[in-house]
Amino acid sequence: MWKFIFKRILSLIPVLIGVTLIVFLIMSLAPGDPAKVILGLEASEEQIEKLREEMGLNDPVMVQYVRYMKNLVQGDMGLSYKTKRPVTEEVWARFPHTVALSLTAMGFAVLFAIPLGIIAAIKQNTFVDGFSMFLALLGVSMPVFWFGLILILVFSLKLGWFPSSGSDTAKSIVLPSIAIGFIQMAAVARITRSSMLEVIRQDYIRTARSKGLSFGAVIRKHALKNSLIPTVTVIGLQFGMLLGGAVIVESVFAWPGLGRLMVTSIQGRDIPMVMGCIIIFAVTFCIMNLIVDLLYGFLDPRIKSMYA
Amino acid sequence: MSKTKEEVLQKTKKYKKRSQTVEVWHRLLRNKAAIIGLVIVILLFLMVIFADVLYDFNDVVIKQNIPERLQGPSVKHPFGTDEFGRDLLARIVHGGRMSISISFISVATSLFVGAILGALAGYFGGRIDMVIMRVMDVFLAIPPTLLAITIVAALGPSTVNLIIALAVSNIPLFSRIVRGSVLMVRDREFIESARAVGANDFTIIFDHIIPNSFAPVLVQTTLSVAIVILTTAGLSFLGLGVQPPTPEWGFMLSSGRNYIRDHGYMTIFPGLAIMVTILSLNLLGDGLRDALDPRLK
Repeated sequence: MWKFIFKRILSLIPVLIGVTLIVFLIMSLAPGDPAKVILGLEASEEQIEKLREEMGLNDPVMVQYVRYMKNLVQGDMGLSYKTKRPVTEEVWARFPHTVALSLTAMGFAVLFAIPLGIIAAIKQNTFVDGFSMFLALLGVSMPVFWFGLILILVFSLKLGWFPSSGSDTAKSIVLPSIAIGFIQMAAVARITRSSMLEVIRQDYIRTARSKGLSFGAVIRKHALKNSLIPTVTVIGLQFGMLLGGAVIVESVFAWPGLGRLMVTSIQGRDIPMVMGCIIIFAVTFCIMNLIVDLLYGFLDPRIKSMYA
Repeated sequence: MSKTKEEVLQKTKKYKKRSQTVEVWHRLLRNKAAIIGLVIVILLFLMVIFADVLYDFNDVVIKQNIPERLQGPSVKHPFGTDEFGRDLLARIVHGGRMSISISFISVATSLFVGAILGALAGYFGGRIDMVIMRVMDVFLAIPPTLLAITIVAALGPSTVNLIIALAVSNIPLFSRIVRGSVLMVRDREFIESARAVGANDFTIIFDHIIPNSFAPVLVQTTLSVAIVILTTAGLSFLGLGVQPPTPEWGFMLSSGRNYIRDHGYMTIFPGLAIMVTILSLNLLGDGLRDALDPRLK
C-alpha cells in the first residue's frame, strides 16, 4: 500500500509543474504592463522601466517562470499589486473558508446521494425511483448560482431563516453548501443508482440471497462496496466542478473564500493574486484526485495489487 | 423444396438488417424522455434561428424604455420588464441565441481540435501519444470552469475570448474520448484491410477511425453543450463573459440579482430558461447514449 501511495505522490510532481507552467503562460498573455498597474497613471517612463527591470519583467517568459517556481517552492508567490502584501498570506487566509464550504457541500451531497441512489436502484421503475431520478436530473440541469439566488430569495429574504451573505455566523455556511451540494448530489445519486443496478444483478448477489442472508445484509455487505467505485470516481470528478462552482457561489453569497478573492483579483487585474488562487485550486484538485485513487485501492484490492 | 428464387429473396429482404442509423432512431423513439428532450431542443433551435423575427434586436431587446421599468409579468410583458423597461421575454429569446450559439461554436471547436489530437495520439501511439496525452492530463488537472476563468482573466472579458476559453478548456475531454475509441478500433480487421488496399494513414484516420468513434462523441457533445451553456452563464454572471447591453442568460441573472428582494421574477425567468435548455439537452444526451449502446441500459 505504501508503495502505491508513494508512486502516486511522485506522479503528481510533473503534473504540478505542467499546471503551473500552463497557468503562468496563460497569465503572461495578459495585456497591460504590471509596472504601470502598480505605479499608476502618473508614473514616468523611467520609473516604469526601472520597476520593470527590478521585477524582472524584461527577462524572457521562461526565465520568469523558473524564477517564479524557485520562489513558489519556498512558499513565496510574490506581492499583490493591490494590497502590496504577500500573496501567500492572503491566499492562506481565504483557503480555509473554501475548504469548509467544499467539504460541507460534498458531505451534504454524499449523505443524501448514496442512500437516494441505492433506494432508486432497489425500487427500480417505481414511483420512488422515478421521483428521485427526476430530482437528480433537475439538479444536474440547474445553474448553481441561480439555485443559490433562489435559496436566498426563499430562505433568507422571505423566511429569514439564514443570512443571505457573509460568514459571520455558523448558519452562514448552510445556504451556500446546499446550493453547491444539491448539484453534486444529483450527479452522485445518478451514478450510484446505475452502478448499484449493475451490481445487484450479479450472480454473487443471488448466491448471497439464496444462502439465506436478508436483503438488507446483502446490500450492505456485498453490493455496497462493489457498487461504490464508479461513485467514488464521480465524486472525484465532481470535486473539480465543485471548486469551479465554488468560485461562482462564493460571489453569490459574498463568502470570503478563495474563489471570491480570485474574482475580485481578476477584476482588479491583480495577476500574482490570480496566479496564486489558481495554483492553490489546481493543487487541491490534484490532491483530491490522489485521494480518490487511494480510495480505489481501498475499495478494490485488484487495483491495489497492481502496484504491490 | 418448392420455394422459388423470388420467395427466398423476398424473405431475406424482409429480414434484412435495418441500417444502424435507423435502428438507433427507432430505439430513441421508444424513449419518451429523450423525445421530450429532442422536441424542446428543436423548439429552442427554432427560437434561436428566428429570434429576430420574434423580437427586433434594436427596438425591443436593447432599447431602454424607462417608463415601463420593473413591471411584473403581465399580458403585454409575459415575463415582466427589467430595470431599463426592456421586455424580459424578448431578452430571454435573444439571450438564448447568445448562450446557445456561444456554446455550440466553442464545443464544435473543442470537438474539432480534440478529435484531431485524440485520433493522432491513439492511431500512432508511442511517443506522439505520450506527448499529446501528458499535455492533456495537465490541462485536465485544472477544473474546466477555472481554466476558462483563467483564460478570460488573461485575455480580458469579451464574447470572443469567452468562446476561446470555453473551447480550450474542453479540448482535453474530447481528445481523450476520441483516443479511447481509436484504441478500440485500431487493430480491428477492417482497418487492416483498408491498409491492405493501399489507404494511407490520413484516409484511415478520417474515413475509418473517426466515424467509428461517432457514438461516444455524439453523446459527449450533447452533454458538453449543456455544461458549456452553464459555464457561459456562470462566467457572464461574474462579468467575465458577454458584455452589456447584449442579452445573455447569465448576465441577465446577475442584473436581476440586484432587484431580487422585490422583483424576483427578474431572477427566476432567465434561470428557468437555462434550466429547461440544460434539462432537455441532458434528456436527449441520456437517450442517445442508451439508443447508441443498448448494453448500457
